[in-house]
Amino acid sequence: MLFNSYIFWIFFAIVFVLYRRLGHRGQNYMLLAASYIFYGYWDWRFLFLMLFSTVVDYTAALLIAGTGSRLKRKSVLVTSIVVQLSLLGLFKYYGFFSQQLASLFGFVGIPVYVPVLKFLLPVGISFYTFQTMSYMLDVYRDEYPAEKSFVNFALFVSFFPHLVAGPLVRATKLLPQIATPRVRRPNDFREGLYYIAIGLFKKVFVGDNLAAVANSIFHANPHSLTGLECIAGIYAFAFQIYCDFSGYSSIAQGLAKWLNIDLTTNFNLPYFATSPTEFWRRWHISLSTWFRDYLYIPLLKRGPQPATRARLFASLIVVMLLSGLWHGAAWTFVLWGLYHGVLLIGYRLISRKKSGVPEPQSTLSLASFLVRVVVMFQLVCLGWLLFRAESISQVGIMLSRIVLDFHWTPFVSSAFAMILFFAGPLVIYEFWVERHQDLLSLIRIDWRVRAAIYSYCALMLLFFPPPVSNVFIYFQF
Amino acid sequence: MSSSTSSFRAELKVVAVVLLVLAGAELVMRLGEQFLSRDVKHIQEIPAISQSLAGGKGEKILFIGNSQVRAGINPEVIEQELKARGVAPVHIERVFPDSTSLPDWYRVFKHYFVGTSRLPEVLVLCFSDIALQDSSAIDPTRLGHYYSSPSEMPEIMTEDVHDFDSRAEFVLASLSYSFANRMRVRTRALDAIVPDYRDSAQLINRDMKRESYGKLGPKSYQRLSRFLAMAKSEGVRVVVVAMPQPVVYSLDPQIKTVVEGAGMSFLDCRTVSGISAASFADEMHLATKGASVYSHFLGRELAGPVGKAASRDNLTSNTR
Repeated sequence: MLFNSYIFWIFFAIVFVLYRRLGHRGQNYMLLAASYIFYGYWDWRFLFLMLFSTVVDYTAALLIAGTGSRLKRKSVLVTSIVVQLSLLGLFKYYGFFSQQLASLFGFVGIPVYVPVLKFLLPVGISFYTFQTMSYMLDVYRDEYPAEKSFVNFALFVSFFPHLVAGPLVRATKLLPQIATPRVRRPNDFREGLYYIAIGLFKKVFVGDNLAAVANSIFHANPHSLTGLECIAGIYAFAFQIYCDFSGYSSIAQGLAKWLNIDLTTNFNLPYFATSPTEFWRRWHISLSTWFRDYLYIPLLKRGPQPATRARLFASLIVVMLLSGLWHGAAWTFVLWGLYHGVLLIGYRLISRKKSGVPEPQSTLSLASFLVRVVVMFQLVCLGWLLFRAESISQVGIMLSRIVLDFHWTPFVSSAFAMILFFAGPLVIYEFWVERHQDLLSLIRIDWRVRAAIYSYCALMLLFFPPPVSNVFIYFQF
Repeated sequence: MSSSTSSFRAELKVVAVVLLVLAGAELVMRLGEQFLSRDVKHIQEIPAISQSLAGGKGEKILFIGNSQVRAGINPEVIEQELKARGVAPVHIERVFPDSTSLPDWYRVFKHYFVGTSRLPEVLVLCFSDIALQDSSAIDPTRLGHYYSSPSEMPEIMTEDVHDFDSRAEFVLASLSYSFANRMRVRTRALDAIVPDYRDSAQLINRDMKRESYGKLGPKSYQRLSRFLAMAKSEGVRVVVVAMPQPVVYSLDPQIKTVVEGAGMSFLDCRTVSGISAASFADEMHLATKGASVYSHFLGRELAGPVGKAASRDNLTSNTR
């Protein structure tokens, strides 16, 4: 069930009506059942995988909480993490790594037979695996008590608004909201409506419409493209992936708001970042903070303190490589992670501040801010080329076209005009939000202005459907 | 009143304005649908076409297809060729909604011709590429808005529109003019705003077509069999014609088997002497000169099947 499908909204309407009629316990049971129906709608067989994963971590957390032995706690944690990562590895990475291994042996002249197992990737497996891993680590570190109610824990793992594409929500944020009765707050409807409206606008109007432009470039023979066509394709993809993913997160937040539950904000106007460090504070925030808290900081803490510059940079590279690999089993994703790692290190080296923390925007003039935003956007787009390309050779050819061929073609005019038409209004709106430094600025202004903006969104959604409806990109991760 | 309720009510004003704007758009679309495109105008003319066919004198021939029929078939030339071969008088009509394939043609024929008992003697079904395959795209919007009545809904939902989202789209399109015409508004608006939109749209469409080809199911022709059986039961002779394209496409031999197995005629007119890639105005449609050459050719080819139908009709009327 996709958020941009009719069946989902019928499903949600039923869930919402039942939710309003039930007490707290009933709500949790019903939400759990609804979440399993939502997930099983894709492929019911993967329900067992999610259930297995849930049972393993529920039991492991109780075992950790129930023992004082450090060794036992650690061994349970390691077992749980090995089980979860094995499932993820089997379904997501087995094909890639077995192929690479066979190629490596073949390269040195040792033919190796590696059994080919083609698995269907369970939707959202990376998301719920990372979410349960964070829970296990929090319990192990005594930062959160083990959840005693299986229903509450199962709902924490499977809560349908964010189950298949995030945001990753920590146990510390979500479990208390599940465990205690929820109250209707004055602004829940208004905020939920805002998140859903803006999310659908981003996903359907901007993301899916620009997907057609980006796909036509990336599917073409790269030798036949001009440099400007490549650039247009990359820009179109930059807006496609941002609007697709942040649109999903926004709708998830809105749906949860209507159920009186707060999810983590996953995007904070990332294309207005003025540095690589800031970009990662604004893009896929729930994953960035996951890697920061559970990998980057522990890596820095190992060894002599304070961490040396070499250790800092090595940790950054490891984290970014893994972040790339998290997105998919392909060298292009690994390169994308490496590229961002290098960007982060480069920025730290040239930045005057040791921490790499960017200057607050308030100290920048508008012109300086805009110049930095534009430069950073180009750097991010270069990364998107790595991310979207189907092979490393495609990256190389497209880069060479960008450098060597400046022909303006009719398709370039069309593509840029479409990017302007579909993404331009959003960029202007987000610039306004950025200047207000408040993501919910729109719900705090005069209702008539909001009605006008929502009407514009509704008309665009009605009259500019994408040529082909696309699934959310992040489902594959 | 709690603050939660008052905030909810306040936001309902916003929702009400949005609904009003959408209602306004619906009203505008209901008043001005015919100005959206010549395709809509043509679809709105189909009842008149079927009426004209019913009132026509001589052998009634109906061409059904997509814009390839509009661009590539000249009725006067066909009539002239048939006349030259002793098949006269004839009354020719054409129905050619844009971007359509067999699911649409099936419904058009059933809704406007079988349903109104305004039947031709000969139906010439013009297709290209995969348009006759069961897996060719079904557009629930078009079926819902243009080619069906409420009484046909259950049948269409059983035979053509299977999944929930398609059914929802089908029902919405049958109810709302603005929803049904959303793609037309999109095309017109982008054509007006985006430079060289038509050329770039063709590139994008080509890419999407390639993508969708990869997702096609196995080749089957059950809908075509149903179509032919329906025509047969109404006493209509069908001639299935493979139309030319600039790049000659491969033709599944099953089509000929299915058509001839149903006792109908099949004409492979993909390649015609005098027609080359230069005879086309774009990737699909014949230019005027190419259309003339093609119509002369098709007229000659149709003389056999149409003549047979005519003599069968004469025989039937004499027996009566």
